[in-house]
Amino acid sequence: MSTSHSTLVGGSYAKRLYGASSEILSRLERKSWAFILLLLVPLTYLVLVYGLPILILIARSLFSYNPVTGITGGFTLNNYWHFLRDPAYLNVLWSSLRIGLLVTILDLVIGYPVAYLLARISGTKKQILMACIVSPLLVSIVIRTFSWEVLLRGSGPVSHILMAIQIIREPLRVLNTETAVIIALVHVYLPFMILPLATVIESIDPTLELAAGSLGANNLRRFIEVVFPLSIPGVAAGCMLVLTTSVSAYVTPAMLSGGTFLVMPTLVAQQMQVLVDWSFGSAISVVLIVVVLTIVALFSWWAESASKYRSGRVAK
Amino acid sequence: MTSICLSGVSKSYGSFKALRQVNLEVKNGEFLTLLGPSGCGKTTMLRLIAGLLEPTEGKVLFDGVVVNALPPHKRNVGLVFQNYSLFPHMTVSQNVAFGLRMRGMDATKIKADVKDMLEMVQLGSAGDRYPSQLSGGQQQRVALARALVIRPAVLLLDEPFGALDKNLRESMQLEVRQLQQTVKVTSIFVTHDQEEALTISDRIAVVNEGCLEQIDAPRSVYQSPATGFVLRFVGASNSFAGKVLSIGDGQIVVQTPYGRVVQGHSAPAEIAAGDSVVVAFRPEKGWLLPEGQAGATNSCPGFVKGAIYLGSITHYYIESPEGQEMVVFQLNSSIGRAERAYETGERVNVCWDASNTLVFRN
Repeated sequence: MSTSHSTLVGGSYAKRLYGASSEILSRLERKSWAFILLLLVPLTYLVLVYGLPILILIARSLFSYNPVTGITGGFTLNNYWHFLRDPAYLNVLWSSLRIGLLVTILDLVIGYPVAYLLARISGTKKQILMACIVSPLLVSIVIRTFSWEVLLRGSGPVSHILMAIQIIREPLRVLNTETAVIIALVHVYLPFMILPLATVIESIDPTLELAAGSLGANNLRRFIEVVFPLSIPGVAAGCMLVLTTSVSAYVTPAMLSGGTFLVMPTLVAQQMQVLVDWSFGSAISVVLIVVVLTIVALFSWWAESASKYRSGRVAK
Repeated sequence: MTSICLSGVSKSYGSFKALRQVNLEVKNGEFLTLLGPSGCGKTTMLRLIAGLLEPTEGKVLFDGVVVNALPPHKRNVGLVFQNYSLFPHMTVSQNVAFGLRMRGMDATKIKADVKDMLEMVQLGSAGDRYPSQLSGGQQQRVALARALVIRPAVLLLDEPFGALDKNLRESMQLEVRQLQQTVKVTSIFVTHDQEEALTISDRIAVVNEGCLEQIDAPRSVYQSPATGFVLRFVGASNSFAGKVLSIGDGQIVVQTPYGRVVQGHSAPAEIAAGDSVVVAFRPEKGWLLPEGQAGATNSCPGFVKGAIYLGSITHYYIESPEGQEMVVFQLNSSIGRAERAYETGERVNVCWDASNTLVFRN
């Protein structure tokens, strides 16, 4: 059984879970009827709630559909041509990717030191830090985005502080720009970078850093030579989570762009709700799904190849 | 090739004193073992020398130079850990080359040094393998190579063989010893296994609760333990509590519940008549005689509680009428010639010479 997903999602803990569940599965296989029945319940749910809508989506994108009359037309690839040939639409795709990449890089740079700290401390300090990192997730994303809207207003606190210390001379005008969306997304998705990273870093034996130190490596070289290379499965996991969610983020860009620019999800919303072109909207959604799946595949491959030493399997 | 000195070193964690005023000198090129039970402070001492910890008091000196303020990567120490701590994402060669790279050595020279070192630990063909592909013994040899290739001032080994099985441990002990004598590097070895300490050391430093109890060659530590702790920790022993009756003529006479016990040759300076002491002897220095027969300066009656046959020797467990437990080792080859075997339940006399008796203050 491939363990690429288990190394991706949480290092050693997930691997143990995966191993345990595959043991349960192989035990159930012996009683095949019970096995099948047990699986049927969640499988049915997933098919109905998840699989079927995606199939309908794909179908809609390939057959022109009029929601008013309910009539489906003939097979056509026009919707995809329409999207891929128009630079305006490709620009929207590029916006999504650009925002996603910037958010991921920023989250990595900000999140790595926090993850390292979280991994290396213990006891009450660790619990407090963990609470600080996780507690924003308890608040709805709409509320968090709205808070940024309030903070980043020209008449808001950030503007006042920056003017007071003379970094800017006019009221802040970052709202309704890509920058505002990036700032908010960096904040919202930071826990998704920190937690997988911290899990992986925690599984890096601290005596490795001691050994490197005793051999003459200063703090920077210890990081570059030992800690970072061994944390790559966590980096891949965190980046994958942040990139896929920020590329497909809807609420935050919708609220903070002020309609001045589009990303893929808001474009889809526009097509579906405003222009009522469900076929075209479906095609754009499928393009987004393909992009996200590609990202997942790439990062899974990266994490898998980087963790081959740690699991002892080397292609030699 | 460096001499190491701990001068008046103490280490406290809050109110807990891990080390108390330790004075230790390790000679140039010597193999010193820090021996003691878990939590006695031996690993703390090692880490102080490595620079991983700073002393609360006192000085750490390399060749007479105080190094308290130097971090580990400036002290030129070679560390070998119990779990090897090899870099899993680097090959064996890359692991060994790591220290040399940190020192900015030229690439061709590094390659040559690494090759020589791997040959020395008999892993010449394993250079391109990853640590996870090696066995425990091989991994430990890579760890040794990695620590030695940088020509450290001192080699520090923290219970490096704890994770290996018995046979492998014994062969690795000899390998390390030979390696150390070839390379002539000052080495400090930490262990709680007294047999290991006796096997490989030039000198043993016995540590208990943050204090050095004795530093001596293995033979002296075993035959002339300085304190009761050293006696009990290194090798098996039989001991009795008693009171000193008289001192004189190179003899101490001690009154124990089992009669008088006499200690021959030298008397430890601090003991005076009337002191409470512990007298002891090693099991292999005692022998059994049938009940009622006397044959030595010291004896104690009892019955054989159990006999354990161990191939070349037999361990006899004797219990005296007062409940004192004793152990006597008998060489099975001497049965028939000078001695005979004894059965469980037989009444015997445990005998030993005054010259083999040790006395310590209680």
